[in-house]
Amino acid sequence: MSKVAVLGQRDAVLGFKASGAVAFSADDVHEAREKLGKILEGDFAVLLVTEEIAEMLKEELQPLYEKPKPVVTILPDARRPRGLGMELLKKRVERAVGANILLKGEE
Amino acid sequence: MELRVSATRQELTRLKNRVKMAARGHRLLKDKRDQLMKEFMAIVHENQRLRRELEKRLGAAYKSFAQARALLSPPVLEEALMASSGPEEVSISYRRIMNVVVPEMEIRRAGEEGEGNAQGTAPGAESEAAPAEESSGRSINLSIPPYGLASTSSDLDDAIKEFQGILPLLVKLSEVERKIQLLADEIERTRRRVNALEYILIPELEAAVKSVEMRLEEMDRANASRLMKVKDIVRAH
Repeated sequence: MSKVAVLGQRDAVLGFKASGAVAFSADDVHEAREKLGKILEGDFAVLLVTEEIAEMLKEELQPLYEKPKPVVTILPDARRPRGLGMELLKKRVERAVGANILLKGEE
Repeated sequence: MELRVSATRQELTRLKNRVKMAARGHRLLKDKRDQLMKEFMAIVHENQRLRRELEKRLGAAYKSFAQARALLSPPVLEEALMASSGPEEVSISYRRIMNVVVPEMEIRRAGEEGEGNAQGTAPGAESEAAPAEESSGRSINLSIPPYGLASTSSDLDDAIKEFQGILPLLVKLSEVERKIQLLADEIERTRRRVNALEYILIPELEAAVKSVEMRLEEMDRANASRLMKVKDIVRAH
């Protein structure tokens, strides 16, 4: 059985400790990279990343999208609606469909 | 690019069969693409809904958590957080959508089946933790939190409840996003195949059929005129 990992800044991640996810806090790129390595060694089904960390680790996270485990998801951020996570999604939809037919009647 | 084929009847039959086959494949792939698209759009909309809801709830959770943090000393907070987290386990099963294997994840509070390690799970928490259902994330009953009530504030209770409710949603979001990614890849592949068939292979084959037919007709005519000529020569003698 696998678990859920959360990777983010200290204050962003602290709350998740209570939720049953395993929290990894990282405040700079090096730490984030190190923690990511640790996460990949463990048995995690889901890896939740805050937007800031996702931006820092863009290249490191890229190969993970192809792997079955862990599933990397960028946490939605209330402060920046339609942030990185949405952007990634939009790109995928565009690539698949050939046009951004999505997100129209939704606004 | 033109296909180079020899102008024989055998080749012509073979080419015609290939055209038929390609057209059939094209139709099938087109259907597949359309169906994938349908599934895809449904999932994308679900994703948007989830994201929007999560944005709202995460914001609320962070807010009550910030309040709790302001009131509590770090060690007390840390302790309370440790105590309240039965580690969640995620089980993955797989389903096929149009032959694309997609994961379905379900979250389960460890300790329910007695298989979770008791790490951080206070004795009282096990009996109270109801199964975390996917949609109604608030089903975790924390009426008696497994930490000291005297030393913590009610903001913390709210924050923890909030976060625990959010996790199943996040797992769901992860599942949905992974599905989107896998389906998007498959749609792209299928679309390429459809286009390759429609705009390259089938026109090429049809052009080849036409050229072979013309060559054969030309050979027929040549043959006919040669025969007439031969007849003339024979008659003249």
